Amino acid sequence: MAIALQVIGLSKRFGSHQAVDELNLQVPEGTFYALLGANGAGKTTTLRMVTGLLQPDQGDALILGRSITQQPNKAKKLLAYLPDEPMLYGKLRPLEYLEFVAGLWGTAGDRAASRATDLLKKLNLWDVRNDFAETFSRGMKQKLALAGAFIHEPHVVILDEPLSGLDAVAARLVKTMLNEYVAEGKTVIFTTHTMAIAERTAQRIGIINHGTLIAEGTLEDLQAQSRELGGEFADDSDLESIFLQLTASPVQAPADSDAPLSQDEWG
Amino acid sequence: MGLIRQFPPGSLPWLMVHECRLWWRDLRAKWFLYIMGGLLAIVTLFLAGVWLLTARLGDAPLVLVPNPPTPSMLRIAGGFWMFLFIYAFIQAMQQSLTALFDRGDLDLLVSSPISSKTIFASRLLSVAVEVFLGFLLLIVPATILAMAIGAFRLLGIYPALVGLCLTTASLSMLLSLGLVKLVGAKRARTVAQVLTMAIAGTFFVGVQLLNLDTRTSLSQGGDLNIPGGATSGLSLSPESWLWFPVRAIFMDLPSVVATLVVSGGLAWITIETLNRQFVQGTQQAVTGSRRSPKSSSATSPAQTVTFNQGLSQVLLRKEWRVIQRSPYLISRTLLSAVFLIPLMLLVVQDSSTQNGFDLATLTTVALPSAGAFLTSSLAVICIAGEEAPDLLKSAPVKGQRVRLLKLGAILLPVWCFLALFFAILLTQGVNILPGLALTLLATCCTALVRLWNAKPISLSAMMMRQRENAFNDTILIILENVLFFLWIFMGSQMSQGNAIATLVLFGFVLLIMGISYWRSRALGSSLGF
Repeated sequence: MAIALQVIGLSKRFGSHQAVDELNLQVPEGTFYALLGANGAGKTTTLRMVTGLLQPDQGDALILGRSITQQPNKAKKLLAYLPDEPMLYGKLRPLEYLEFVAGLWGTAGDRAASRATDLLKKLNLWDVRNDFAETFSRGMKQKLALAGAFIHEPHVVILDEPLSGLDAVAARLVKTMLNEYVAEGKTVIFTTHTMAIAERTAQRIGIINHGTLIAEGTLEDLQAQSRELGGEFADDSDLESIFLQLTASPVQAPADSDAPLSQDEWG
Repeated sequence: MGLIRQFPPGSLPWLMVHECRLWWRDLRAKWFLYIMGGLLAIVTLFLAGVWLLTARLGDAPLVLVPNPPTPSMLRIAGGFWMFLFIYAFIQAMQQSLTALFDRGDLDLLVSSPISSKTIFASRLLSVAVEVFLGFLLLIVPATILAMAIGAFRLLGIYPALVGLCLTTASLSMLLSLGLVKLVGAKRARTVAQVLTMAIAGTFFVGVQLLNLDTRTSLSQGGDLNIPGGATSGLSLSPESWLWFPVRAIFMDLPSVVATLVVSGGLAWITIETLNRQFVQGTQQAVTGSRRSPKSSSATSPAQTVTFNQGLSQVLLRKEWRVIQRSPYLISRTLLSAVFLIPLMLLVVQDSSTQNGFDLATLTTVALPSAGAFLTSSLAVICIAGEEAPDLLKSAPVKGQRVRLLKLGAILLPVWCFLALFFAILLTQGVNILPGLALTLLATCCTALVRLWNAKPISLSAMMMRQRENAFNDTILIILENVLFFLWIFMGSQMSQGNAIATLVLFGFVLLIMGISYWRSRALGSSLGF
């Protein structure tokens, strides 16, 4: 199986803060991959370097073998990036936005036009195709940005908190769409703070802490690592406990409970 | 912090202190440099005042304000009052729009048991207070100086300003809420901003053109009369009762009382009559910005979008769509250009022949500077207002090409617009080459300065003065303004055939461009790609 994303010794420092520290990572093609980490762990910085938005201090990232630093345009052609804040133009209508993005990626033509129509219909945005994006709700903006990410049929899709701001119906829709995309042999890499989502959807999971990849693999791999370390949460099999153990998060358990609240308990 | 505890929670003064605290913190965060500059000005003027006072004690001749003031002094004060009024009105409109559309705490206040009248009164009065405080940087040094030379009567500027701020705050609230009712919350903001600029622009240009037309007659003591005013006794002469807000500046007691009573009355009527509309308008403003579940576009015909386009076409089309769909930006651009007309007329008129304007000067001064101004406005929209720089950066296209296309999107409309004027001048037999060369240089340099120092933020954030921190690049503003005046001086010298002065000024242009380029390297800017 080909490697969709290979991160080699990637580093980035902001002033005295080492955001990413010689990070190495491999994501096989056709994988649904979750990148986890606490706030400030270096997830977004890593993704921004991988997508060519940020110049690394050292190291490189290969997208299906194309270097993002040496052959940026060839690598970007295969990529789509969706940041947590949708990259939209308030004064453009959905179809105009998709036309613009398709033009940027050089995928103009009838295929792009029919794909734009399909995406808007699939994401329930067809009825608002003549409205300006500035009038959309947060969830609608997120869906339009997602349509923009998929318009040029990228091989690797990188999403930063893709489900934030989406209601349950829209979240399910997006998850289904991403799963279908992976089933086609494409690669989806996403970050999330919701462990339950990562646990349910991701085939492989990477955990970043202080700019370094501290654990990586399937959920079973991570459970095995957790058992080897044998800590407070060693017997627990859910991802949240594993994550807390591996990142040694200073979470204070509630006074009337031995374990921290689970995601479901938080609501 | 302590002051707010002096008042009962939920009372009008309590709310006003809260409002002023927020305003002050926002101002302190954004305008630190201006405040420091203002304080420096106050200290400097205070020292100058002390020096003058010393001179006065030494029997030096001083010009004191006569009582009553002469008509010419009243005219000067009237002009000053007009300027203050326009400025206060623009500021009050901005504050009112912020209070109505941008502030996120209105839901909290409206859902509290505080009466709508108290909430509205606090907003209106705080708008007035904020505008008044904003004037202090200008007024305090001036009054220090006035006191130093013994013109204590000029302290009347303070009650005059109180009246002016209350009036403009009331008018701005009336206008904002009236527009919400007339055109709905969605369009009210844009219409209000356009109207503010239109009113201010018309007023300014009107006064300037009137000044140009009637300069002689006024200097000879002539008066302006309102049409039909002769029979009704209405006259715009300084002796007219209509000048009471201006006479208040000279501490004329009846005028001071009249100013405060009229402005206070207007504020009271506004609060009494509009407090309910304010709450409704606020709710409309909040809900109006969100989409209704059923969109009108569901039933409207499908929009035609062509996907068979290359990068150049899609990028140019996108930029022009954004420009075309920003009525406020267009109006700001055009109305700001209107502000330049009196300046241009003065520049051209001073060197004009007996039979009319000097067309060569018009070509080398007015057109390059107008071109630079328009370019600057469009560059703000296309470069500073780029809403998705990360999208452009993550696309497989060369940044250099995107930058060139952006420059094209800015410059092409300006060149097309100015080409009309050059064509007309050409038919008049005017040598347009120097002006054309200078216009090309001015527009290119202006666009490049903005491109090199770009800090993109979202268009909506750019439009909100309260969130302008990211947009407030003081050095860039200075560079742009210096460059703008350089075009005027350079054009003027060029039209007079002064080659050496033109070259020296061109050297300054190169210096500004060099600084801008150096900043782009230092900031790592240029749109970030």
